[in-house]
Amino acid sequence: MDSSQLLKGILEGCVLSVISRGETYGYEIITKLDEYGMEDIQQGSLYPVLTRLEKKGSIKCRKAPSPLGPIRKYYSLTQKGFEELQSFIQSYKKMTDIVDNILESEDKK
Amino acid sequence: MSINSEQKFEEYAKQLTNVYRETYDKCYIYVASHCNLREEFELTMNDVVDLLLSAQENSSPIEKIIGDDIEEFCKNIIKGNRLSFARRSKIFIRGFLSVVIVCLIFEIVDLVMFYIEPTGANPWTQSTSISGVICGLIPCLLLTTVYDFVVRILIKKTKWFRRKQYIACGLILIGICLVSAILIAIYFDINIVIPRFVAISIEVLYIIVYFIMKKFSDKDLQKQGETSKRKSRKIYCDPKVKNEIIDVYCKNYEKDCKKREKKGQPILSVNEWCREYIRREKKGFVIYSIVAICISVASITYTAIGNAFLDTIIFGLVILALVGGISAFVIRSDFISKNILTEIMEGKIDFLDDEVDSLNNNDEEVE
Repeated sequence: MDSSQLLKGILEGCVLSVISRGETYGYEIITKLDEYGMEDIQQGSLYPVLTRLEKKGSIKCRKAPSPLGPIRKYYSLTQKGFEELQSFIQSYKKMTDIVDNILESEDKK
Repeated sequence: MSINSEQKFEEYAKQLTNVYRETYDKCYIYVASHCNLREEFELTMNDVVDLLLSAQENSSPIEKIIGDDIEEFCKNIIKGNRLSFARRSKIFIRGFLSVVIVCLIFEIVDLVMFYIEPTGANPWTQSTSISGVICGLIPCLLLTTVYDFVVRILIKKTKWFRRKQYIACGLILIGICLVSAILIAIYFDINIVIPRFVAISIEVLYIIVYFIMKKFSDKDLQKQGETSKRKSRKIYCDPKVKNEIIDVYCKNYEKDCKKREKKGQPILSVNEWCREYIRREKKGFVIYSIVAICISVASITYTAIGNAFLDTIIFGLVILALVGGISAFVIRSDFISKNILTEIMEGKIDFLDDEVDSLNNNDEEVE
């Protein structure tokens, strides 16, 4: 099965989780996701996610000059984003438990 | 001496090398041909430059950032920087605002002329020609649309073409637009006339719509935590020029210190000297304003005596354009100078040379 399809569904939640640890920017988010093993995510696929989250009001954006010079977008979590992250964590845990149970019982058979 | 100046993304892009620079060039062409608005283009390219600079700094492989499909990457990054409807409308309307204002001024001058030298006809219902505007607008709008379309096809077919070619094509397009406008005016004998009150109403309506859109656009900006461009506008100063200005200030300060030392007067601290300099510049600006107003009013009044009203108006406009141009330059220089002096006072610029520094220290020791 193509793992990228599976990734797409949970990417929003992962991005929210990374941003929840403190104000961050696009390149840093990609680097952190990469460190955790999400190697298939590039900036191109991250951008629509960030835009979607910003439009929904889950994250807010602040523009400030980066240490390298150009204006950079710094993202941080809003209250709505925090609630959404909690809800994602609950749903994800519930879903993985269900999937684990199914896979384990199939293995036993 | 270090400066902390606000530069455009193109300035920062000069720091990019090798594969990062190549990727930047490719993105530049794609984004330029897919963003119709300059603001959208600048926002997108700023993101691209920031990303590529960060990747270069950390020696990250470009594929890790961009992916396999650069076109898809550009599309996504453009989508992320799409302006709201109000902001897009405001920018589009602003494009023709100066033309509309100039037309309105001419209509009003024409109207005033009718009342000064009445011809018997009703000046409001008299016909006014809009052929010039139409002859100019049609080729511009048509050709830029065709150009955009052709560039997009070229990018898809040939994958990428160089930035120089893109700029050359743009210059050719401007030439074609100008020639077509002149040819249309000469050969097609277009004569479109509408009643003056209709022309004035359209122009006034256009200006009102612009201000309504501007209000909505500013609200959008506030929502995104930004201030409107006018409020947050900082005058850009080339870093080389800025360094030269700082050098001049440094030398002036040095001279002032030595002069005071000779005279046995206390040496001013950098902050005191900067404040004094700003005060002197302010005084100079007030004197300039008074002189400029006096010369303009005197010359226009002199022309008005014994000359036709229209001649006075034309002369007045020429004088205003001249004085306005010089004033804009003076105000700009004044702003830049004030910004630099403020930065020196805030300690953002390493202003003192070792020599002056020691002079200051000596003075403190003596005290």
